Amino acid sequence: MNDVTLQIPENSILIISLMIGIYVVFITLFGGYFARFNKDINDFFYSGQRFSWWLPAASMVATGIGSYSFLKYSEQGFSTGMSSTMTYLNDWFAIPFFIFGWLPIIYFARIKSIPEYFERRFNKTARFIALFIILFYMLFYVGYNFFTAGLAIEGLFNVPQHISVPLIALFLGVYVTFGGQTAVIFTDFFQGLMLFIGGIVALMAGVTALGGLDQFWTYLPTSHRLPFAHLTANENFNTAGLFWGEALAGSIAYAFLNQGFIMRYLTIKSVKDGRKAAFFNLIVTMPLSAIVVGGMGWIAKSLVTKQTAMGGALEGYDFINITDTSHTFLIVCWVTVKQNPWIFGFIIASLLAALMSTIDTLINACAALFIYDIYKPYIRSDGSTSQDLFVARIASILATLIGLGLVVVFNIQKDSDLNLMSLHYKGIMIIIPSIVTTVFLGVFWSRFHGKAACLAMIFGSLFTIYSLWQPQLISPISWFVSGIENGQFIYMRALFGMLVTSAFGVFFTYALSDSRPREMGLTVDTIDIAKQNYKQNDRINEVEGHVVRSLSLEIDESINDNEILVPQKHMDMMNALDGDIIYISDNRSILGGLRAGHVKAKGLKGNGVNNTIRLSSKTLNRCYLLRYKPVLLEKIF
Amino acid sequence: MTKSKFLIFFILLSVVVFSLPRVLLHYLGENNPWTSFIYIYVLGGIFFSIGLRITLSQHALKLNLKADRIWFRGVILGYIFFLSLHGAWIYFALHGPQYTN
Repeated sequence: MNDVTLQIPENSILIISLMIGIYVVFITLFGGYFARFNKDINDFFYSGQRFSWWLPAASMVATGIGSYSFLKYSEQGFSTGMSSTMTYLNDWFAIPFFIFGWLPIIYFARIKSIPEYFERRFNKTARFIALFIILFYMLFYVGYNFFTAGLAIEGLFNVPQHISVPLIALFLGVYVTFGGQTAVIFTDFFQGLMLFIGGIVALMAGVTALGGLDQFWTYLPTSHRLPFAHLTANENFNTAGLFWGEALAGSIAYAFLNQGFIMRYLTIKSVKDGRKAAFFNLIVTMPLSAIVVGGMGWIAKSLVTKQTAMGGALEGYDFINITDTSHTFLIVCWVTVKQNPWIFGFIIASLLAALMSTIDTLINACAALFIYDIYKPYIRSDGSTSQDLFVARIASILATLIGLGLVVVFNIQKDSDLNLMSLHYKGIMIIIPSIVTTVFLGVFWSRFHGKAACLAMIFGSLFTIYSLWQPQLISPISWFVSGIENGQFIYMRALFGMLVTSAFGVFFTYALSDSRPREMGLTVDTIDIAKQNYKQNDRINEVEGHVVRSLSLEIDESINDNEILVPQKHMDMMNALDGDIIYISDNRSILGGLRAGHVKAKGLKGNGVNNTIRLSSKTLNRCYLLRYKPVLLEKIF
Repeated sequence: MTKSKFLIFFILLSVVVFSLPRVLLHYLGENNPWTSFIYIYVLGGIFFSIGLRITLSQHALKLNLKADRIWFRGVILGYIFFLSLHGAWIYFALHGPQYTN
């Protein structure tokens, strides 16, 4: 797996390195600029719940696509074809649970971290267990990203990972550590565009080399054109396993437990906009991402088939010989761009964009977990804002260092016969089942209590790990759902873990009693209470209203902080009542809510104030509004 | 949902999960691409329907609100969108021009 197939001339390496260097410096400065929008750790991690849906949604693209995606999915696309898209296109089944259940709960209950949910819903012990599992899950991704980035650089420049990976980590650490979540969102938005453009350029070069789309399709074997893998034939990639392991357990883990994604949703101004972001993510960006990251693998297969048919290299191109499939993306790119170092350098910069944009989110999320689940509750709850921010930055550095350490583990695992996809899911399918099941039962089954949750997570995790040595435990379950039956249960382990955790959860719920009073608003049947708590008012006004635009501002220091006075006619247009939560934002929608915030509105009756909002300078500053720029108002509820 | 209703639902679900793939394998065969398609969309559809049923019955989704009705239709249309996309994809994969040596 270590042979270096690319032979890049020295002068080309210089140009490619130059392009990468320019990109890294640019993105570091770009991210660093947004440090000014962090007034406290709430801004640092959550950007104050103020963004329009499209900005976090677009930045989620970059978060979802890591450096590993290009390598892993191209390799998978080359070996099994378009079924490499399965993991990107099978998340819809979980969407009702997410957008109608989980999203409103975490938003209205102001959940800062997933372990915090476990404490409020269950107890402190549950929080600790969840924290341990989730940190492991996030750091696994950090390490895997570093590992695949190192693998790519090794393949490109023959630079060993122990040199390349720490260097990448150093650059990444700078802008995540100082920029925080606002920097992450804005750089990811840019990097999402970058990696899409880079990926599409690579695909176009590949299709051109083949002689057009019709040639691509004609030379792609039928087995590689299909959107689904065989039900059971391939032990590393089969539909039955992917459905139970990835579509169910994996999708729930990604939507419910990925702190990085959750933090993105919590930066959005309202649940309605959160739902829009989820729709856009699943319907537009995931299918596009599946093509961008896996497409080079499909092209590689078509090219190799055409080469065989032609009896040699295609006219004007070098012969493609893929001996190390983990380098499929790099090899095919290099050949199809005709060794042009400028274009290739741009594509590699987009690969780097994918890496940076994923790791920055993960590191920021790990730091958030440290601050909200360890530092604030147990070390120092009364730290000043500057102390909190300092610790948040130290936590970011720690997460980076641990991720670096995990690269060693992946390198040891790599020497087995697993491809990148299997290596990834082998780890994930052990980590997630117990916590996925517990959070799911916690949200949708109000009777499920803390003692049962703790015991279910512990026993569920232990049994899942134990099944590594006793895989025959999974056999009956795999047989029941017509899954693979040869003892290689990469994906079925997740189903096993979920069933065991559920069984323990149900058993202990009925066998034990838990007298701890239940906090309302944390289960699907109490979302209305969560809304009331959020608003600090029993009256929920869910009548649809209009957005009111182009209003000017007037400072009035007699008005309470967090409150604005709005002319009554505009209150009527919004269908808003006194005390309703209003989103106030700079009128320029291109800012995406960078200058915005939530306030409570009060109707202002009388003449002469038709298009003017009154607010205190403190509220103006808290919402990052500019005194002489017009604003818009939107009723939340 | 009462305990007895839940038990009946659980048994029915188990029967479907057990028998659906066996019926598919018997009538379509394991190499038929439609086998994987039906496996995913029937079992996934059940999971999806459970999600809608729970959120409706717990009033997390209120169909008396216009906005919620739109979201409700949206998620169902999304399911149909993915089902149609994959169905058309398999059809064109099987019936498009093909190089044969």
